[in-house]
Amino acid sequence: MVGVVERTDPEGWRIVDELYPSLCRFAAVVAPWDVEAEDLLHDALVDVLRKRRLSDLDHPAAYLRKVLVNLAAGHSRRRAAWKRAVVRLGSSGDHHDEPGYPSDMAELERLPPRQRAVLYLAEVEGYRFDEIAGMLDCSEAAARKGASRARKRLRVELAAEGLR
Amino acid sequence: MNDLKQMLEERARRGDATGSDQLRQRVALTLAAGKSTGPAHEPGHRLSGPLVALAAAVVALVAIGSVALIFRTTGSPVAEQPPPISTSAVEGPVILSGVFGLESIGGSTWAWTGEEIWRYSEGDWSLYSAAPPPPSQWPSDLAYDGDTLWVLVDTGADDPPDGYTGVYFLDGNDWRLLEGNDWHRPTEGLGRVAADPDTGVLWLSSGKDLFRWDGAEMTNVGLPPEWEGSAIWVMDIGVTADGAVEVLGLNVYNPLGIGDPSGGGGLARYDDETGTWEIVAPPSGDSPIPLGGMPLGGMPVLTADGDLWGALPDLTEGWMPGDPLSGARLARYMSTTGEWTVYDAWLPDFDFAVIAAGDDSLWIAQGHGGKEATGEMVGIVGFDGETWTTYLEGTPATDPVDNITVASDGTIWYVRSDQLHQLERGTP
Repeated sequence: MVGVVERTDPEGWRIVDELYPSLCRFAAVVAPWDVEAEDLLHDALVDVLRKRRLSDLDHPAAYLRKVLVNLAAGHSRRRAAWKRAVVRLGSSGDHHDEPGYPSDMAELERLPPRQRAVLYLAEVEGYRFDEIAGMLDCSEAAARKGASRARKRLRVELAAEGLR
Repeated sequence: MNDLKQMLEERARRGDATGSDQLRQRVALTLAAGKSTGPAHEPGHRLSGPLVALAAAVVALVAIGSVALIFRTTGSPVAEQPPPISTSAVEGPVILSGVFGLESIGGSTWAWTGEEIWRYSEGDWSLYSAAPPPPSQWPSDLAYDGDTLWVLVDTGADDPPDGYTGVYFLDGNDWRLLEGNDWHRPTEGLGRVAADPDTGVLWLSSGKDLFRWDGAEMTNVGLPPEWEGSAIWVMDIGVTADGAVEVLGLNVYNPLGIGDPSGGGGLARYDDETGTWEIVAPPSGDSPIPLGGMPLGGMPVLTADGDLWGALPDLTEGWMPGDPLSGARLARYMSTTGEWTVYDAWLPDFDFAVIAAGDDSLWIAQGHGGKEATGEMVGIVGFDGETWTTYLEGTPATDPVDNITVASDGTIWYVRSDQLHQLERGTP
């Protein structure tokens, strides 16, 4: 079966091989803590390859990053209701411990996937905001705002962490 | 670790891997097992053809046979059940792509993408709104009173301006945010919306509150006094044919109310005329538990018209959330009669299920996060009041169902990989 797929778009698999390391790292940044980066990348590739060949895309890396962010956001939304219920009930006295994250990464985990993506692309991979906007299908201003809000939020949370 | 770049790099290292061979193989297997690798569907959110093209074959109906005994009582031991009837079905063509949500309310079925809302009514899908629901996020729930479509938007963010939870309504071609004059819109926990088609009143739940919007004033009618001080959280709301508001509450820490029989939650009815609450107790006195075995991974289903489907576990066996449901009995509360029906029927053991209920049927499919991790094959099962039937058995576990719903004409629609399909059913 692998052969059947590969014959349909060998150039696509060459692209996968080439992009794999960077996309896997990107997936690790945007994925919820309990979702494996490679699982998210698998889902993204399946989603894209069902619709088109990678070799038909002008910017396959950017397209796949966009899909990864959307999938990660979907995971986050599915957890949102439950998480909020637990948090709110905990704050109202019906305390119950939420599964914890490693303490030094908890602040990052609280950011929406898209904001983590913007920060990573800007801070680590060094992309300009107009390039990031193209990758994440948003305006340059929205990308800048997202990064600004994320940094501000991290500053507040890290400061609070320092006080605890 | 207070350095942002270091934190991001640390996080990215989780994705460091040695090679892409294994991933390539997984992707190829998923594609080959799930669908043809022929011409792909172009991105975009449009109907792909007339519904008559859904003549995909339903083949090889293999009846293994099971007829459940239905009784209207409680406490009887559960007989060992034969397996459900199995069918092999071929997935029909994609009706709509990029679908993130699917729900049947107000006599119509609604499907929404990140940009559009589509409506299925009288046998056809049509574009209802091409304006992206603000703030360009995906709706998490809809309500329709026959005139106005209300959209609950949940960004998943905790606070504005990154995003917030709010209710919008379509005013002409524009979406407007509902702002109550004396209502402090919660930025978290606003979970479900329901509309009364007779009065136009909109009901909104926020976990620990129930809000009433009559078009001029927003009031908080609270929750049943019996639930005060508990960890019961509102999971769903519905409006019955007689105008009562039904609220499904679930104790998120203690869904069975273990050690606290009144604290497990369940179903409550609010009479809008008298402003009073009534707890709808199941026949056994036990709270109905999630149908999928996990809280929120298949919780009891409250239909749009107020019927409730849930499972009644045998508590003597010490059932806990996450345990298999094979010992639990399926139960249904009918709002029109106020009666419970307990089915002595096999209950499928799904975790993280997605569930839909129609007038006389219940549908369960394996959702994300459960058996896909184990590689087990999953499908869609339907219960018609007597018999369970398995459809799409053998669909890849890596491609679970995102959503399923029953249209008012009985058509089953489901979403997988963001693509909307009609479930082709044969005659077992």
